[in-house]
Amino acid sequence: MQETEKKIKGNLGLDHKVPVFSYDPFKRHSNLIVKDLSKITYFEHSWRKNFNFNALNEPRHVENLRHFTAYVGHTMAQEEITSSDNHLKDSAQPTITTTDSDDDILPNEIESYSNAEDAGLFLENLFKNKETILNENWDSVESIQSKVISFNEESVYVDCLLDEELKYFESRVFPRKLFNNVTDLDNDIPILMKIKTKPGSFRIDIYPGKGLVNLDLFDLKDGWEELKGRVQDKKLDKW
Amino acid sequence: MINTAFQFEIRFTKILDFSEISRSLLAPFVKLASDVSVDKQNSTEEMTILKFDEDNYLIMVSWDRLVLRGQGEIKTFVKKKSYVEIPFLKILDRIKSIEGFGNIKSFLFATTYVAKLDTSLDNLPKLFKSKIFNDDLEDISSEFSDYAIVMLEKKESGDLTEIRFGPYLNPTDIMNRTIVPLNINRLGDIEFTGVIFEYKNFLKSNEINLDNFSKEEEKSTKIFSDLCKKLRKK
Repeated sequence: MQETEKKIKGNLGLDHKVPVFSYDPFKRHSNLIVKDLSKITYFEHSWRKNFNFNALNEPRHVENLRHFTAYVGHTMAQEEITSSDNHLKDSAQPTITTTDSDDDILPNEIESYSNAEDAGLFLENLFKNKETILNENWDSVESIQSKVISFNEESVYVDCLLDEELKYFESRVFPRKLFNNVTDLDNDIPILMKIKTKPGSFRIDIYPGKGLVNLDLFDLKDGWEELKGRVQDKKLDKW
Repeated sequence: MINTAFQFEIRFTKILDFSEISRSLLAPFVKLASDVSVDKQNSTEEMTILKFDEDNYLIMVSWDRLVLRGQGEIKTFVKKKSYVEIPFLKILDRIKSIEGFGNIKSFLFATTYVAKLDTSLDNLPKLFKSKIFNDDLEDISSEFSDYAIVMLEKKESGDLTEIRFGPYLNPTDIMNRTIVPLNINRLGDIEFTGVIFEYKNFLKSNEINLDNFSKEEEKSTKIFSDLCKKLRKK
């Protein structure tokens, strides 16, 4: 990768020194785009005719794009590609290569959209593969056994078993959309929730709980059985 | 301190008809997994592998053992309601409910850590020699550039604890260990020099729960932290 500097005119007519990448980033070295995303601010490539990146050369656009690097850095991509270079250093070690072909997916997809005229289409298809490139480190990951209490068009009300030993439950409400993957949504059906949290972010995954959730745990009769035969289990109709 | 790989393996008496019932046994858990594969199909040693790529772990189930292999944030695995409880120990519960199930025999916890030390690659072996060994090592030979220390405790009952550590020279060291990462690319920055540490504990036990895993994780982390402190002490 050759990096040089180039003078360009900005919006205010001032000269700006900017680094220029003289390779075709999307076609031949697509993985490096992600690795060096923080450095890549300007592009110069052979297919500029088809894809107008000139606008990106303007400093104001670069500034705007910088705001988004936080989101991009959130993905696995930077780390993943950086360390994949290690394999290149020692390609004689087959065991170091990954156990699956995740790494190939990102560059291949970029290749197929290298001539796209619409950057939106490119990004849309890039993040279709987010499952294979995400590697978020969560502070806490919980699998919570739950049961649907009721639902309407907007919300689903769920009993969540937070502590199996203490029988500690919480009733929580979630947007109905989260449950669209549960085809047989109904009252009293089991749901398994996977909740991941870290400062500033959390994620919920919903799974149909059949075979995973023990519904007997939601059937709390213990306390009432103890009260049987005592006055406390009768209505206070004389008051 | 980076956990490069860990394995929690529960061994039980062999289930002869495991290959016939494994599919229905594991079916509820497939929806949680990102991929499933079956090895040695329709043989007594059939093994089903449930991959959870996004969460950096996998579960292997065969006729005589249930294995959890992961990497990275091991602390998220030790808590209640973690992946160790669901789905791992849930699968164990289902296996225990099989008619032909005998009993749990033992479990194995193994893990590998690496940590950075503020020393150059050239000085790393010297550091280990001065902190762990003594100068008499030179009398044997002064030509070696790498060391490994192995500590073993073997009991009559069959329980075995093994600790290995030595200089961490480069990422190749990680791949030369007994258990390797599922995806080395997801370990973050491992391009440094420091110390590599392997911990293995094999215990006979009939009961397995989250505590077994949590205690082993705590024990291994403490030993490694103490080791790092010793190596970092000026």
